[in-house]
Amino acid sequence: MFPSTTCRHNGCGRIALSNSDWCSEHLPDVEAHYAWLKSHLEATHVFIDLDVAGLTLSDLDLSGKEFRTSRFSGTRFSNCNFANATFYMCFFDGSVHCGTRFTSTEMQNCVFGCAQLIKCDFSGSNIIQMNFNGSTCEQTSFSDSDLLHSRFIASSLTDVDFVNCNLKEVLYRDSIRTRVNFKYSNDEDAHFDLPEVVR
Amino acid sequence: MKVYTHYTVASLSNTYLIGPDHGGEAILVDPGSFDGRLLELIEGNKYYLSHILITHVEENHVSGLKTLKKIYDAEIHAAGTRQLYSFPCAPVQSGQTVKLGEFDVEAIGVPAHTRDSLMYRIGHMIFAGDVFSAGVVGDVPNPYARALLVETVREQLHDFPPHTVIFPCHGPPTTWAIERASNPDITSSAGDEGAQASL
Repeated sequence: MFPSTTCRHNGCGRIALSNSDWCSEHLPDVEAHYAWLKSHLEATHVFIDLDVAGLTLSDLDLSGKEFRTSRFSGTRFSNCNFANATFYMCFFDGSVHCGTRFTSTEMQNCVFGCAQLIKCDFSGSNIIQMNFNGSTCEQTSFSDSDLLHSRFIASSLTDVDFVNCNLKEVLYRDSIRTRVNFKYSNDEDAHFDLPEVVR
Repeated sequence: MKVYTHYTVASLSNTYLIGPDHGGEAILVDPGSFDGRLLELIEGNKYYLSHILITHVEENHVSGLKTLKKIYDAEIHAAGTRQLYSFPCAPVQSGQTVKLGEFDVEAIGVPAHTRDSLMYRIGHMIFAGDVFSAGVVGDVPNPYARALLVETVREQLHDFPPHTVIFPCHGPPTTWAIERASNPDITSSAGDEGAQASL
């Protein structure tokens, strides 16, 4: 699991970034850290315990890479490509995505809680037991995906496609859904109302 | 510290394996089943199973013990019982912190789902059992128990850092920050209303 070394800044309780003793807010040399990160992301195929929380990642092609127990909490993504990537127990909580491509990905036990997903594409993916609770999704597609046991509790979904998806045991309790398309999906196997049967 | 999830299809539940970064003494939480994949997870990561934590005694949390105990001489820790399937248990009490291997494990009592329900805290991680899962508090027999559960969860986790990671027995992982922001049971006063209605 990602290390829990805290930032060296006095009184800061945040977790330090990978290859650093500081969190994103207290990085002493931001440019040097981004330079290291860029070369690390390009050179490495399998990432374990990577921590880039709170950083901004733009125009990166990370397709086909594998991320395990990595932390992207509060990270801002702009025009990044994760097509065909694999994610296992990664934390994207509070992250902001604009135009991120997650097409044909394998995702399991990952957390996108309270994230903002704008114009993102998860189509053709296995999105198993994922946490999207409290997230905001706009103009985003999950079509042709298996979302078994994933949760969108208290999320805001606008112009979101779940076309031809497996929605077995997907929880949408308390979600606000505007122009959400469930065509060809088994939405009868998802749960929209209280009381929820969790098991 | 590493955390691995093992999923039991029969009971739709998670078992967690916790161990040091490079092998050694490991802890298992809620072995709902035992199969080759769990054995591979333990052995493949060079772990020896020394301790088994039970969040509460229900079949889908303990069924794996029968086979596990034939392979590993692991000590079982549970509340409310001194014996499981004829195996002796080390009794655990709420508020108690014990050193298991290289980890300090704190037991947090939340008697509502069952009288013996515990959560276990290891570092910045909480293994919540059936007390609650992402976006939903646990299954309880009546509105009063529900209100008690919500109130106890709020009280027990109130001072925990927002980045505290919560691993439930059912469903995806979450963080305390996400639950505080988006779990309808925790954010609303529905639990309190339930208690008043039942009184």
